[in-house]
Amino acid sequence: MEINGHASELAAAAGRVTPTAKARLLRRNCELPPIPSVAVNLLGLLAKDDVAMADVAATVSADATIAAEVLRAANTAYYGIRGEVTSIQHATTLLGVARIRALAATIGLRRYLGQALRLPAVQRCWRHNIATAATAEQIALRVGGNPADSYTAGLLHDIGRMALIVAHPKQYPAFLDAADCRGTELLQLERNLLGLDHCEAGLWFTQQLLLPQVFQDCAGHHHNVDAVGPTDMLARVTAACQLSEWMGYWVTPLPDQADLDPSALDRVAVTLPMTQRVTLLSEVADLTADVGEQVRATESMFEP
Amino acid sequence: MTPPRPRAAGPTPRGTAAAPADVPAMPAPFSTVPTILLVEDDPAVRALLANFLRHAGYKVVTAADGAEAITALEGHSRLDLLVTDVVMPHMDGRALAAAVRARQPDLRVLFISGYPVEVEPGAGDATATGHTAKPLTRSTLLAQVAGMLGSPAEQPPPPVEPAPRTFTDSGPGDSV
Repeated sequence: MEINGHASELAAAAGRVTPTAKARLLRRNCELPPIPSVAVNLLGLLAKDDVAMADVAATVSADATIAAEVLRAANTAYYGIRGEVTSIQHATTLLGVARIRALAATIGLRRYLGQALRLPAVQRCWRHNIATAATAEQIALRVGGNPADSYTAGLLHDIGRMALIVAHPKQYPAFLDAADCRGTELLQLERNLLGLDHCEAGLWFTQQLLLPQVFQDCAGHHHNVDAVGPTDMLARVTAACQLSEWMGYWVTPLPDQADLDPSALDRVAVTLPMTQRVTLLSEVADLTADVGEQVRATESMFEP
Repeated sequence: MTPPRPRAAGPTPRGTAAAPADVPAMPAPFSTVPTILLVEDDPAVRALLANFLRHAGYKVVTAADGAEAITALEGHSRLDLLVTDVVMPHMDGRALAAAVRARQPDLRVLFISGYPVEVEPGAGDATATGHTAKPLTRSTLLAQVAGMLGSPAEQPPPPVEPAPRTFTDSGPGDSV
């Protein structure tokens, strides 16, 4: 899928974005950076609820490099598969469609960032993304929800930030190094600088990719759950985003704030129902350890 | 010359028409909003710091190097603060500060550098010269500037609007 700002595409897209974003996009004739076709194909696996195992295997197998990365990941100890996995079909059978889709989305999103990943700010974004994905999965495992889809929603929640990185490879990372605030204040600074924030960009991007509504909600509203009403998934991903920052997987530094500060837990995961929140926070040490293990496993997939 | 833009009574609503990325030559001799000359050779950092300062309520003129800064001064009767990188091609920040202070001896100067710098004190009081280290955060920059100038919070907000929404680094112009 080509996501450039040609007039016809903008006109088509205009029917799928908010009025404010539409007006801005049309007036300024902006362009989103194109996403590599292989990444689009991988993310496209998320667009259908009932994608067939054969379709997943065919899409992943279509690119030899991607297929090799999936196989390499499937053979890591993290997935605990006995014996060597030698084909994508075999990996899909063993791990399941949802897990392969999540894995493919991880690889596709990382490929989208490309050379920008050499910058520390972009590395922090990537770690925050995979930590949020892992935390969302762990929340689902502990208090309910689909773990693999929660992982994917967490992975995609900051896809707008990825688009801003690719579009502004110098300025946006520099901004993330200098902007020592988070949440709505950070969104305002992004709008001051670029004319839109990473949530607006994320909503636009997920709409362009025709991803399911739940992924659009998470990408567009994880800093403002009141805008759509907290769906279970949005509540989970928002809590995961906050918890991953609390664990130390933050993107923008805060002055005078330590990671894993117990007193700061009062302000995280408030989007979850009270009983779920109490359960989760009672085992936050185990949660942190599990997320750390999963983040390390994901990072090891991409080590040379 | 670009005509002066009307003063806004409050924060500019988002989504309004794009404004020039830079403040034009200051035509209002009675303006009480401090004017800062920001000199930084990295265009991405220059645009970023200028954006932070403008949205904090200051008037900002930008230049990419010392020569451009000297040219920019021709259009300004008086500056309140020079914020300059130290290491720049052609004319470094210290040489620029000396050149500007030859015109305006009491000018306050804030040096930005990744290294410790020894700077000549200005002709003004002890706060006339400051130094802030890279990497620079927004709160550090604004605290340093406010300390040297006084916060512009008591001033009416300047007519700053969001940058034209572009998805590429070559978008917002920020030259003088």
